[in-house]
Amino acid sequence: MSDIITYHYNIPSVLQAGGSSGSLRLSGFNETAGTEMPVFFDGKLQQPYVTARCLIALSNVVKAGFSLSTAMAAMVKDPIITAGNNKLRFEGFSLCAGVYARVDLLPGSHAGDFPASGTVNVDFNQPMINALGAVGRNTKLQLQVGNRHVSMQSSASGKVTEKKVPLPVKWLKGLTSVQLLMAGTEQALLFNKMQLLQLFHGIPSGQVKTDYYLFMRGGRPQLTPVKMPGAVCIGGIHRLKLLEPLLPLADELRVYAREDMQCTVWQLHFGPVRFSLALSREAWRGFSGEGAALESLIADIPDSWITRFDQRSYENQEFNITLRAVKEQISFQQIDNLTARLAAMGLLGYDTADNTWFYRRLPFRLSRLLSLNPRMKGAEQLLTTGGVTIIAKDKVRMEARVAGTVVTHTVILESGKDKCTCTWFSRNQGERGDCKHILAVKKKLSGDI
Amino acid sequence: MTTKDELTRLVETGRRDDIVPFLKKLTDADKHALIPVLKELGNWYSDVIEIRPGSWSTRMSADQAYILAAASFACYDKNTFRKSLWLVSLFSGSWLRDILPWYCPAWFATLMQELSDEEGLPGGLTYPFLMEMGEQGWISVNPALVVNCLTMAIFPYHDKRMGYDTSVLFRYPITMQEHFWYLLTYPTNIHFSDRWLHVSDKTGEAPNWKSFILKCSSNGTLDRLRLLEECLKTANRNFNKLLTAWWMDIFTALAPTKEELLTMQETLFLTLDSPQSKAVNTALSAIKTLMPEKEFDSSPLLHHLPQVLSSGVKSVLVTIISILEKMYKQHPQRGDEISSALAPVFVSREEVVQIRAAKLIAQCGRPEDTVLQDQLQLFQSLMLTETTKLLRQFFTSDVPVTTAADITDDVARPLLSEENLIPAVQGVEELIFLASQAFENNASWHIDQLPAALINLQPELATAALLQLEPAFQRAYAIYYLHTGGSGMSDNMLALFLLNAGKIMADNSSDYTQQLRQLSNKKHWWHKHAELIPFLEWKQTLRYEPIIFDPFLQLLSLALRKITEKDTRPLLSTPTHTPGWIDPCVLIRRLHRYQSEQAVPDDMDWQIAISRCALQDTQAAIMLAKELLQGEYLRLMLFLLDASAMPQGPFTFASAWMQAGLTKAPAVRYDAFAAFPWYNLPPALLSGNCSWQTFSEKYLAYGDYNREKKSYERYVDHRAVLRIDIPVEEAAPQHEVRLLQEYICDSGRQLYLHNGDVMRVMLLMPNNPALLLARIIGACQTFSGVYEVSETGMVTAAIQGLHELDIVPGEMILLFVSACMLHADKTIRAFAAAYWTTRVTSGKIDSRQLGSMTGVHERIGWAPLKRFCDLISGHMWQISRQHNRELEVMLQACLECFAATPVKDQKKLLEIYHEVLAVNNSRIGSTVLPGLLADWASGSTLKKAAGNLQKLLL
Repeated sequence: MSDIITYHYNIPSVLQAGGSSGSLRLSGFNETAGTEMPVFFDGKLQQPYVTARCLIALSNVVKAGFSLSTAMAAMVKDPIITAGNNKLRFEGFSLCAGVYARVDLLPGSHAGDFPASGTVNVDFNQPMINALGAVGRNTKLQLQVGNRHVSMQSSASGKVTEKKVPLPVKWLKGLTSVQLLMAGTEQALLFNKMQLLQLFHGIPSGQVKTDYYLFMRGGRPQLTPVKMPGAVCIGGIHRLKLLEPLLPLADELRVYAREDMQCTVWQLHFGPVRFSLALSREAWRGFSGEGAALESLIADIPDSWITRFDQRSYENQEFNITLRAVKEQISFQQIDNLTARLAAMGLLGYDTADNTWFYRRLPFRLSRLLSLNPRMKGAEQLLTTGGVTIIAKDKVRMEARVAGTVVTHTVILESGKDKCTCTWFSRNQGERGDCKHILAVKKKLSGDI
Repeated sequence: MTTKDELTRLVETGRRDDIVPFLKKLTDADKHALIPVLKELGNWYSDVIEIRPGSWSTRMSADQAYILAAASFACYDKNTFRKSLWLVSLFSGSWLRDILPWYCPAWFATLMQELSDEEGLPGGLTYPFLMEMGEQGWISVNPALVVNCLTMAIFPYHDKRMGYDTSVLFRYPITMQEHFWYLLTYPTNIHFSDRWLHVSDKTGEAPNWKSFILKCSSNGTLDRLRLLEECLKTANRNFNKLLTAWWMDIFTALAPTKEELLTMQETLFLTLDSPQSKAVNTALSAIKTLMPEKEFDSSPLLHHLPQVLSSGVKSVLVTIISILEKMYKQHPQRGDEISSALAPVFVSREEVVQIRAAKLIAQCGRPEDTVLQDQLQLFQSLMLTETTKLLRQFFTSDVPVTTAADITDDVARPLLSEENLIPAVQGVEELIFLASQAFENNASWHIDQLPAALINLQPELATAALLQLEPAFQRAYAIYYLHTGGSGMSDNMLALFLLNAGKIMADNSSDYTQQLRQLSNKKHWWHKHAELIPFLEWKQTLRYEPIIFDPFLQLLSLALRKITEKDTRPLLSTPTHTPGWIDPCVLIRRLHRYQSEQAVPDDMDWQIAISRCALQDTQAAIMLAKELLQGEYLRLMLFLLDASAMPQGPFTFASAWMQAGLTKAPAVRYDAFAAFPWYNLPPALLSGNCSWQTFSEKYLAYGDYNREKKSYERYVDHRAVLRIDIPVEEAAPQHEVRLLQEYICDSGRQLYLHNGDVMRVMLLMPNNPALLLARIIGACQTFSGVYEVSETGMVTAAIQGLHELDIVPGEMILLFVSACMLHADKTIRAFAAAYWTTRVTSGKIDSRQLGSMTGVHERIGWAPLKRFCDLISGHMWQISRQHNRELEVMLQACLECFAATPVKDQKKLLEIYHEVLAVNNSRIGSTVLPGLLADWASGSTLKKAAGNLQKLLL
């Protein structure tokens, strides 16, 4: 499959301004549905100024590359919008696959119709971003997502906006695995207006290589490079500066973190509008390399479950794990595996503030999404070539030899202490998911092959 | 002759005039058939070969390149051409101009679009050629293509020299009507052209875009009002700050009149939302000039205030407050709005900003306004005491001025505890995984733990287990021979050690050797790269001989000897607790084994073990020593563990006795050791307390380049330096056994350590890292300016490592911390502040001495004082009452060292000191400061700040 994705927009997205009002028309494209698509939302924005600023911040995230060359930085991927269930969600991912951003426009932030639900790539061109910058506090702004007028205009002018950009696996994979990482976060800190301004004043300038730790002391946010118990660990803290233009507008900042600190989520609240920024563990590490979903992908999920879920769901619909388990009469473990599988397939996103999954089908061919997870593919290849030999096995412990490059690796599976002698495991000690050797052994044990 | 032959012949003979006629007669099928030949020819002719001795070039001549490029363009499809090497010559050669008039492939326009979208256009595209291609319909001219070449359009090349000619901008009407405006809409590099391009000025005007734009604005070529407005709009177009600043300079240079500014009020307010402070300042200046105008509606300004106030830039804040003062005078009815919107300004800790804002709020706000009360309450904890006093009327309850807690919840941890216990390697399986981890996710103690485990477990290392070490040998091979990853010298040494250990074990076991042969026909890891280098020759393979690594070299050599001799007695120096401590009880048990087996410990092993001993709560260890040890072993350990014990001879293990003395009391000389060869070594070498001085020294600075002399002018200047005297041994040591300190000192030779090595060297002597720190100061902190990455990395690693050592800081540690507090790197400064913070809590730091050292540095402006002031405001202030008191002590000591002549930014430091005194409710008890304050108060810059402090004198 080609690693180039071509966005076909019938017309460019445009913000038409007229005095103190304007109309933002966002043009969409879905790789599976093509250019013909319905209008997903048509109405007015209740907080146009804040929304415009959030969308500019989102465009800054998708342009950002914290570990890439300038040439790569020019290959911007457009954000994705999901419309439905009275919500609009814009998602974007940095080029380096280490920063994820989402703008949630919740009920109350808009007034209009959702004639259809769906998820599409949305054209974020420079003139439109420029025009968003001119939206003032008193501007009234209409928003239309989709292509109602597009066909007429495009047939009149014959103008089609086409953007071809490389679509590296790491970008797509990061977009899916970040949802699983976010799902493992808990709210760690909450800052009011004053505290969040104070916090950002303390962020060192320039590119920061050292980890910083954030904690509260005497009601004040404190940042220190010294490891502190209970503090939130932030690698590549300079990436937070992407939030700076939004700070004066926010009511509060919530910080979510995983226990293993592999991901932090920074969520600004502006009433019914939210801006979330998820950071990978370090600036040079993308979410793509985090094997958050790998273990869940070992267990086979019946295709019928996935198909049933996909057919019965609509965009932004909440996916309640407990309810679903009870309703479908399947175990929580199986539901967890199903959730991970669906997230890895780009069918689920995660809302940290509401602590729920929501349905959305990423606007790329499923075959692209299923081709992800090279470590899992490597594991399957090891099994196919007979590279796994079980040496000893009892109820609590399992030892195996797995073929590596030139050498043979030792794999031990012991409750919570799985380990391998390969470079990946030695370097990460399991923090970034299992290596392909451990996965292969687990898959062999699960009896798939 | 076939077309293939014909093409080959054309290329060989380089007849470029014949290529176009040749290509014209080809059919599509012919072109397709020529593709393999073209690829082959392209590859062969583009090979780089030595054309004459010492001179390298490709095989092709310019004519041959022309022929191949033109033929490739005519025959290839888009993707093949894009991947070919001819893409880079798309615009730099003349072939495209010759070929396009008669042949333009259908894919050419798409290619241009793709390249411009990716900002990957090859160099050499000129604006006239772009327009020509557009006019001819070969491509579609889009904004991305235009901005790519328009900025350089006025700097054409003639005879390889860059000139200045703006006529090209008037050749096509669309250029000034439409294309010029793209420069203000899309990101470009136009700002570089004025700064970096040096072109001859023949027209009398400055040869740059700025003068051109100003000229076009004044003569009406450009719509002046539109230009002014577009300049402002660049502030919110996500341009980088240099580009935005350049357009703001153009706006200022255009000198807009009040009438013009009045027409763009809305744009001016939107500019205030820009993340670039230059743009905000420009807009604020314009708004300030409009304030007196009746036609100016200033009310929207309040909506944009949150963005402006969040910038924290002092100049911006001062300007906005002055504008609000004017606004209140003109519109007193807006008092509530102004005062409420102004509250976030208190995030800034600048006294001038806070006081002025507080005065304005006090003037225009109503104390009974609950909205205002809530706003101010929110920011009250950030207010200075003076500010709080000015706003007292707005606070409903008597909230204490300070929010600092009595103490912090930081808990001091003992040197040895369950939490920092290094898990022992329990069996072969753990050894196998440790061996792999030691080269990837390595901790500082892995260099000790891996050899210790190999020694301990060697009887259990049967062939099956050894074969499981293959991945570790593979990694060691890569580290040592291929230098992969960010490994340091000690990693490199450990890799060679493991390979040598593997070879010894193979030599000792025929079964293992046989299995290895069966495993692979290829040579094994230790034979792969010629013959394995013997471990002791490690240093000879390096470009220089780093003596500082000798202790590790000796330790690992000892481990190899033990493996060879199948000696399983443990190494004494293996740490038991992180980061590198040894539990004295464990050391006693190890010694007990040596004593009971009548074996003599290795000299270096024992020295390192002693210097790593955790000398805290040693009663249990003393009891154990009395129980297990005898004779000299017992006497030595009692001397080490009992702070009041004196050495008792006779001394067989002289270096261990010496090390024990230096570990428990570095500065004490024991008479009993007078006969030892190290007794007369320089005291600074033994204790690490080197003498130092911060002073202004003369040096020969570089001036302008002198073209006639072909060298730079030199002149005498002064610079502030921190010099430290590392003791130098005048002659090579006569004694056979050298002390650990001698290796670390290395006579003060040039020091370079990888980040990971810094911690390992520091942990050779965790009780007293003074000597290493002195060397790091000498190598990396002579000046306070920006150093190379390696020096900054060393200092970062050292301050980070120091943090983990919970020892009472001596003079060298304090000197290092004081220099770190003023370091150019903000992270290092933050580490230093955190060091002070944690040591204040545990009562282990002398803030007075630290303050004096900082004062000695800063009295001559060794580093910008602003660094110190910002560090206090951001990291050392209001942590707890205990910290506030210690901060007062430190600041007083610091200021006492200052001279009567103030240094830059001293005012800020005095303001901070005043604030600290106010919060602590203290008065100045110093006997030195009154005189200095009098001197400072007599000057103009410090008059007020010093005057305020004089009021607090006892």
